[in-house]
Amino acid sequence: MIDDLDRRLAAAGIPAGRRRRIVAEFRDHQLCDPEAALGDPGDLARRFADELGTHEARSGAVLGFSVLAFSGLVYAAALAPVVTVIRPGSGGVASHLDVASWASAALAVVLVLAPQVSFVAGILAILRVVRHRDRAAIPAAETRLVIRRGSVAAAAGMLTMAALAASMLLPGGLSPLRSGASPGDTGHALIAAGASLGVAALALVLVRLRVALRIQGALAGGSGWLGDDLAGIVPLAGRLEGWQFAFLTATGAGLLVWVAGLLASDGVDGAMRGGAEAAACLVGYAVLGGYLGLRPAHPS
Amino acid sequence: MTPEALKGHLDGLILAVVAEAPAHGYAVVQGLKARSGGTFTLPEGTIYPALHRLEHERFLSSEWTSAEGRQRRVYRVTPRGRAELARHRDDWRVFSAAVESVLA
Repeated sequence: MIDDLDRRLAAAGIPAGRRRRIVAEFRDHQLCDPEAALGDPGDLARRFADELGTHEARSGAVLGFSVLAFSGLVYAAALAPVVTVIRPGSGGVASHLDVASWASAALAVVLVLAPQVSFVAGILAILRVVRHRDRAAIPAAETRLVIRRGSVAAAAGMLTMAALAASMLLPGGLSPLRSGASPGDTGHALIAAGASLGVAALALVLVRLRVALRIQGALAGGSGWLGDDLAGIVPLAGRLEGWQFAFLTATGAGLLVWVAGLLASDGVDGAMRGGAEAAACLVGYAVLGGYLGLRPAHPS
Repeated sequence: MTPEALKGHLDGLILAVVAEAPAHGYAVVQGLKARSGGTFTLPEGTIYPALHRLEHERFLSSEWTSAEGRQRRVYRVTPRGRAELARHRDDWRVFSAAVESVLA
């Protein structure tokens, strides 16, 4: 029975160290009472996989979110000097990103888009974790969804931090952030160090989520979608379809950017940026909507 | 009593047994049987996923000890686990009082 359990635990993707411990505990139990009814090895392996998989996905997502919070602070510290020089009529943050070369333009695009993807995916992962915080095990499909959301958040966060570190270390002509409004040399070094630390920590988060993905839980059930996550939090969430959510979010984000433009006394520029933001939201939904569970897997 | 009937109560029961004295898996099963007068008999292996889960949640800690010439994993309740046990006890008192008042 013990050898069978070991094989089934391995097949379920339980990490080797954990497997050795489980097997040693069962062996000790059997030596205490050779007649003990330990149960079916297949059922036991499934139970371990369901509970361990849930735990690993959950803790990986929470760890990732914590690292992203730190990364957000580093990002804010880097962008704050740029933001603080905005004056009425200055045209907003983007006009202060120096895009004098292809390299700096590419970094600027990453610095604008990747944090948004990371933020949304991270929030989605945490929403699902919080929703099921009291459950010992969640369906395998939901575990995989949490891992996908956490992985996208960590990967996009890592990209942001790498772009930020590069922006701080590259010569002025190649960096979108090293204008006169940016921090001095010590500030650059500190932000580069913080961003590098963020890259390393998020890489570890990705490794941890990868290990969680190997654990093959078997608990039946669908992965659900954004509407399930927001039910009880956002009024009418249960009645909206996926694309309705997307259009509402895109409209809201676009309006926010437009209002920010209006506050900077540049309504036309703000409207253009707002339109671009809304379009980016819709493109993001089209590209990542299924992967991140933003729309029902099987529309009713 | 079937494992299904214990669903939702197993964590509290395990914490109560381990809170009395640090124990390895087999001793936990024996403690459950003894304290329930033999009512709680479940497939003994099912105790281990629960023990591992409670450790992940930091309600239990564990360490290897050597006993009778072999390695044995012994669990003990953490302060966080004692708080969780108190919560289980409170919930149970409310629940059992409500059931009693309906059934009586």
